[in-house]
Amino acid sequence: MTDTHTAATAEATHHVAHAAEHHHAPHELPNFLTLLSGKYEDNAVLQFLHQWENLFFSGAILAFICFIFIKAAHGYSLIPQGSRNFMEALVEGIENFVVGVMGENGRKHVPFLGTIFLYILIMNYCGMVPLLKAPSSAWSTTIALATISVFYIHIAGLRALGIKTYLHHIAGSPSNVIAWVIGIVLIFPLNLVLEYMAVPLSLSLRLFANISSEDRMLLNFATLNTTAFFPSFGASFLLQLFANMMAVLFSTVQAFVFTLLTAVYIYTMSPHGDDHGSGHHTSEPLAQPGH
Amino acid sequence: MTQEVALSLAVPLALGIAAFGGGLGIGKAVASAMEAIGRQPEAHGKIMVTMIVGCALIEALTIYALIIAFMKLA
Repeated sequence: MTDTHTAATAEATHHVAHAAEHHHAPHELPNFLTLLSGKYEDNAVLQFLHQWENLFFSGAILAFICFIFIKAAHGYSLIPQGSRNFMEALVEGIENFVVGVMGENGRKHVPFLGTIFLYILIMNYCGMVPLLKAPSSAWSTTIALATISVFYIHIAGLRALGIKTYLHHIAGSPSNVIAWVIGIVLIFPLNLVLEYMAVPLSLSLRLFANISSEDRMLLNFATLNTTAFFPSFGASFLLQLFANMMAVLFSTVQAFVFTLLTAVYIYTMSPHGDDHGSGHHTSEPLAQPGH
Repeated sequence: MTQEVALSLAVPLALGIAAFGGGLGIGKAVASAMEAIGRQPEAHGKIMVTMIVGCALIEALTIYALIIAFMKLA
């Protein structure tokens, strides 16, 4: 009895030690903060930055985006030149896309959606740049983005619908007595949970899991390249090229999907019932009401 | 069978099952979208965007399985 007990304890401690060891195993390619804080272990500033590296990198990317856009917006002229040319094309493309999805009403949501698209896109791409890190491979970053999105969706919905119509919409738009009872008792709490918990969870988990598994894939192929280059005669190098191409593709698609889903959620919150009768819209909204 | 062995057998199997379902779903969505584009090539953009939203929602289910796998393996 005591034998098995000690064996179990030994195994448990071994497991704990193993888990602790695993916790420090890298999940993605090292960034410059990892390398520097590993080299200068007594430097408090570097250790602090390494501990908060996701915040550091997301802040740095924010500053970078602000810098390039302010620089492009500086010096107005009728004929755009240089980086301003590119930025105008980019903003116009995003605007056309959002208006195509949400209709003419969506034009006022272009600043938010465009910002979130560019921010997520550049964060995702940073995972592939040597010595940088994708902050969106941590759940803390993506849940913050998703929370912002959900608040924006509901504030936009409240503004567009008014408090009464908003609550009516959340209760499933009941019209007769039975529908009112069912709507208040069942659908109202269900929709509250769905809108305020399931939406941010699914938005953030999708982005986080895609980007973090993409970074793990890059790390694993890079490791394979250094440990098994000679026996495989460069096949692992081709695999890494393939993984990088997949990473470029998925980074773009995930930023796109986050923006698109936010746009669709905003659209379902907006008053679109009276919009269908007037058929003079050149670009008819694409998203359909209801889930 | 230790816990570690059980996990290393079960986690890839669970991921495989989840990916199987997600693959079937996305395959059906993409097949229908391509059929629709073949029938109406001018609606290409709208069909594409709707398909990507649908694919993202389907893919989320597989992603949840992946997160559970990460949690179990960590």
